[in-house]
Amino acid sequence: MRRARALAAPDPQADAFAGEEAFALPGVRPLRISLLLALAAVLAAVLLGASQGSVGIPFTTVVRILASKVLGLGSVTWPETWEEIIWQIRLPRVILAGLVGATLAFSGAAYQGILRNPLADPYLIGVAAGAGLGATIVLVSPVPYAFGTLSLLPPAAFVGAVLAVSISYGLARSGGVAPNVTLILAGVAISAAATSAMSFLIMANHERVATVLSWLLGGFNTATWQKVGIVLPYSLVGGAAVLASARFLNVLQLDEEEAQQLGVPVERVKLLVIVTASLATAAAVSVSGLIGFVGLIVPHTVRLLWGFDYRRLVPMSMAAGAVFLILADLAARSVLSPSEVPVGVVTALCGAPFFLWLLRRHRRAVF
Amino acid sequence: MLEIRDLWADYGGAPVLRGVSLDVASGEVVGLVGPNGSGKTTLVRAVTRVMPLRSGEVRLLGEDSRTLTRAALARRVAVVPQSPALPEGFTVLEIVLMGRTPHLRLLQSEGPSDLAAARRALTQTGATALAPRFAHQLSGGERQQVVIARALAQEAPVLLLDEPTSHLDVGHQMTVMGLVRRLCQERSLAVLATIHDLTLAALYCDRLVLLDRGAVVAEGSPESVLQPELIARAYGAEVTVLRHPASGRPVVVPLPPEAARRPPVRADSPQAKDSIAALEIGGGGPPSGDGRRDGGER
Amino acid sequence: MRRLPLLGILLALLLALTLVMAACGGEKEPAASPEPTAPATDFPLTVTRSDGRNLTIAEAPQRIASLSPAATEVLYAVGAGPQIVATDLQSDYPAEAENTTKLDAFQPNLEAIAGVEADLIIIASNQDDIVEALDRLGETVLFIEVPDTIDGVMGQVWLLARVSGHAEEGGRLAQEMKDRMRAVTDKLADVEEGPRVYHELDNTFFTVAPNSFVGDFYSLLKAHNIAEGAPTAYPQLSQEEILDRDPEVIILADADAGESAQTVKARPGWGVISAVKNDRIYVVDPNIVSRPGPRVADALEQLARVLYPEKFP
Repeated sequence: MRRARALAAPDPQADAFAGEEAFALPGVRPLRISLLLALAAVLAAVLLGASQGSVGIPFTTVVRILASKVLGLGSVTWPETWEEIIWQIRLPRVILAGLVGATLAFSGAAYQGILRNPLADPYLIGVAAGAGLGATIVLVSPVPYAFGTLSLLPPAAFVGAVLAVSISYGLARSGGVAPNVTLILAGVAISAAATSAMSFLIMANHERVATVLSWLLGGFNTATWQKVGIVLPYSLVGGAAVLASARFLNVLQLDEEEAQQLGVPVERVKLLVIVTASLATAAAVSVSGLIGFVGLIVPHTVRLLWGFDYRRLVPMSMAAGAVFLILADLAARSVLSPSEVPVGVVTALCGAPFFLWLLRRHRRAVF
Repeated sequence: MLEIRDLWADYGGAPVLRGVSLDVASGEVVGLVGPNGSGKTTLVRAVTRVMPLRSGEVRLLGEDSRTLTRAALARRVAVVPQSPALPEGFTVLEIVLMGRTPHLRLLQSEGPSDLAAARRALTQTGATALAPRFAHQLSGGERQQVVIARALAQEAPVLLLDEPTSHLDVGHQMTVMGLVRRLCQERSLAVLATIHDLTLAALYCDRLVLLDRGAVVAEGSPESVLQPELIARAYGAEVTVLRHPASGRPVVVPLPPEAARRPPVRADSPQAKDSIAALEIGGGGPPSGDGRRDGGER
Repeated sequence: MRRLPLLGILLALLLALTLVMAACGGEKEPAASPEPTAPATDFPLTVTRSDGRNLTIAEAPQRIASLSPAATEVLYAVGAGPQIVATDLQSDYPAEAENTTKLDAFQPNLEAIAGVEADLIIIASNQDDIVEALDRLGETVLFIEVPDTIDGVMGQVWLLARVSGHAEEGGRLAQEMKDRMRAVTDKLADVEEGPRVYHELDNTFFTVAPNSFVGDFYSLLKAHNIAEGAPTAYPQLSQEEILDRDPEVIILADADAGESAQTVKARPGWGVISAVKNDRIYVVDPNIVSRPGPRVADALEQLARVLYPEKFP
């Protein structure tokens, strides 16, 4: 595991210490380098995703199209269809996948930090079940839900998710405190209720099974710039809030009482992180369905590679989540081309063995 | 520095603290003793406001604790918990740096002054060599050093220690308590430590407070508090209180079951010729010292 | 022993109650059935079910329960309507089917089905092993799966007509359907390759491949289905594929979800598709197209009009 390089100023008592290295501040300078590399990786993934697809468009053409649309450079020498494919279909799809991946990853890290539970993921206290129920209600109702570019589906999923989390938190909170175990239990109970309601609706309207299942499994098939616009504000605010709380999340890994005694306003931090992470996840889920695995596995993988400090974990998770989901979506639309495989299937298939391998490596190193 | 006035607290049922009042001044180590369940840990939790108070007041450096923010409170009082949580993945240095949390503003990261404070704390607790190691892999004694260092890094004038020696062997017990006394004097801290070992408490504390079922039943010098009758009433145990030959401080030893049935021995009785009887406090005693506390043997 | 008379009275009451409930229980009675119109010589009849077993029908059934919307349509079309006492929830055509007892074919309730006391139960999908369960109860079960080709529909029309005692009408209907469809395909004899078509099942771009039932229509009409080459019968296409393959005609089967020519035109990037540019986006009733029943001729004609407006004004 990489250790931070020393940057302590020269000290007359330096000899008495066990080595300068021990006294470096937790990875401030190396963090900047890691972040730059992470950003580069994300951009590379975006470029890769935008250049690949079931319709073969030469890489140089892709770059020229992007340059022309983004920077206004160059003249049009390509078929209009290609430009529309790149700009209206592939790029929003790739950007949305990256955004959702980053959101699920930082939300997962946040939940794991708050609940101090390695099995926590952003869906734990009701987001997934609530969103699923909201979406199912819309999909099975006889009322049409699409009105041109507007659709009732994302708002319904969003409202369902927010309601479920709110009820869970409300049930768990008493006397101004929401203990972790109670929160998890409430979340599981609400999720179970929502899931059973959803299952009932699906069975009662079985002719819509394929549509509902397809939404539940998640995908970026219908990505548009509009959907990117829906998720972006929630992701930005949520990401900023979790990043700002990262130092507190570190201290929270101690007992909650110890953290309080160290000056951390525990309940306020918990509420802030849960609210912003849940809203961001709800927004992501509302436009892309329930893509599993990302929120749970990406933070763990980042931990194994870059340590437990949340100030490193959160930003690196964002980048890793974005890259992971962009690549997973690329696989989802390429493997059975021209047909699509649900992204959730790909994330599970790819993620599980990779994580197992990493775990084995970590165990040998530590034990 | 720390003033507790008529504190009442409970966990939703019967009161656990009943009108507790005590003061701790700068430069003194006060030992809080009492049987299990007497409210010692509850008092620590009440002072640091991690539990609600029924009534009463806690003043830190003259300010009512209820008017302070969490961070302000943490800048005034630091706690060394009984069973510290040392999570995986953090080094000792990172854990000790967490002690700087109350001094950092919202988006601020640790700076050179924080690093220096952590360094000082590690040096003073003799845990410098532990700095790069992972906290969760340490032994009991090492863990104790680390959390004390963290509390020191907080640079708070009041220090609360909750059973700092209960998991330690005798060597480490002496090291830790000796360290606490030394730090108290070097930094002019006001130290309140809950200790279940009465002899240890008597040896290292300037004053003792005996808590029984949530109320203070005795307060003062170790000799005045560690009276067999008081101990018997509080702990429900018959003990013999001796005088330590070197320090003159009380030494509490359990009374053997057979001896419990015999009446207490007076110094001027024939049995006083027994050397042990001669060591009993209140029965004459040895010539060295006058039984009052002194700054001697550590 | 004073209790005995009381016990006896209670028992008698219980018995009476049971008898009353048995007599008054059950759904409303259907209209009295007229005489069967099939020649008596047609029965007894032996047919082979989809599970390979043989079914012998002694005489023309008077109380038919149809758990298949396609079969329901066929039965009404051949004049067996008066013999039908129960249909499934999805049987919404013709309107008379709404007046029969309704049963759930997707989550079949054994008691409800048996309670109808049908002398012939037609089942298209063996959900929860309902066929075996009904067999064990001694019911007469005709288990025939829906056909997946248009030719198969003809065969089923004929079969259902015979089984319900309307062999003649069945023959006439089948012939009529064949004639209508041949009229359509004949007009297309000179067409080498028809327009590129995209049939949308829902707004996440599920479509029909040539090897599906609906796809069969397009094959007959010599249209080029852009989902050709997909691995499954109902694949989900990616948008860029649809753009690249540039369908000339778009058929929407998801109007109930709110999709229409306007919503399709508004989709980002779809402006380059020929069908959008030339305004050749049409809505069809999904039931007509996807139900393998007597309306396939209607469906074929409707699709032909849409695909070849010059030939079928």
